[in-house]
Amino acid sequence: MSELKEALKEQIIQQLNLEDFEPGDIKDNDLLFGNEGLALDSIDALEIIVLLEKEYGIKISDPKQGKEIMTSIQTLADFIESNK
Amino acid sequence: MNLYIRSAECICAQPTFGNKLPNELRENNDDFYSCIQPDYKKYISSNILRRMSPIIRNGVTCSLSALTQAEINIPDAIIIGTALGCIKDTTSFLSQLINDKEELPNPTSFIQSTHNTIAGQLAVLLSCKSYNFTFSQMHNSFECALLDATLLLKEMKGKNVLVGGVDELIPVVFNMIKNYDCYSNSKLGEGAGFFVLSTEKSAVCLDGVKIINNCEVDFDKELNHFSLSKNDIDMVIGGNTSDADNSYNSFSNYFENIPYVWYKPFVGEFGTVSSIALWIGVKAIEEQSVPLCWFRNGIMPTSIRRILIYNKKGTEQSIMLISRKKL
Repeated sequence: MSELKEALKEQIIQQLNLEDFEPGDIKDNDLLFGNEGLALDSIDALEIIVLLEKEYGIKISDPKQGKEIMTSIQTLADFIESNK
Repeated sequence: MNLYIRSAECICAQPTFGNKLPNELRENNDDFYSCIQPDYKKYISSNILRRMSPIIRNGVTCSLSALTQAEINIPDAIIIGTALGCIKDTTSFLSQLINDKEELPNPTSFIQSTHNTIAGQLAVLLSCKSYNFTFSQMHNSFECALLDATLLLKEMKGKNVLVGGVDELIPVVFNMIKNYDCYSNSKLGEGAGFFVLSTEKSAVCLDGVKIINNCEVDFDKELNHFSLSKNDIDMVIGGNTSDADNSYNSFSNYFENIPYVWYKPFVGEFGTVSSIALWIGVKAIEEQSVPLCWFRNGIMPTSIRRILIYNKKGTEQSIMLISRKKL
């Protein structure tokens, strides 16, 4: 699980070109969206959806779930683990 | 009506950004000239910058610096010329389509891949809801933008227009075009030149810009078009890419005894490189001097009142004229 979370952090930093971040800067429960944490936006959400499908072969079938799944690195990792 | 260049900014392979004309030219042993990158974060927040490809970074940073110099918050129009547009994002998006069998393209490179992304980003950043246009006419792209800016100002549809030219060069494009006949004797490059063109008086006047779609140019006739003769020109800026570039023979012969500045051997050839020439011209008039390293024929001007800028690539040719105005 911890390897998955580290991989997710690296993939998100690379895919979203978060130049000012290192994987160690992101805590597992930091908020990805909103005014706190990484403060990502809607285009980043699309990038993460594409990343999940490309890297893990997982689709978010119910868009309403998206907000919950993409709350933090921890929730993303939980979603990937439960859908492997 | 006179039109003035209130400010000018340039990003290219030489240390031009925020500077005067460099006294020394940087040598380059790479296959093509890449831009010296300014500190983008002084102009663009990290959160916005991270999505920008080099052409957008250069175009936006150059524009914001030109606006700051002119002390203008929001221009009355944003007009940009770009030959190949956001080619890095375009190739990235197309490669993804091919590699992923037309599934799952990343949204950012798709969103940012259109030619008008730079002008659009500027409009969003500045909250500028005025005229916003991007011209893409290969080697006359910048001249088209400049012509449109002059027409807009002469129609009294604004006082200050942000106008510029910008292009980027990436390895995939370099490998595609390096062997084109039109680029033989050329080292390719990239860059950005942005200006605030204004009806309000400043030291540099834009006397005219003309696109010429002929194989040959009658310079007497072209100067006559602007009610000028050869004797009115104190300095010329020519677009020769090297000493082996014969396409400028008639131009250099016509202006044989006039101070001759060249720049493409130091910044490279690209679609909107004439915007760099205009920046050089503006700086030359503002400073009333040009460092020796920029001269092709070694003849130095005694004073720089009027400059003719000539660019040619195949049948795509243009003339720009600028002059000094006493304030």
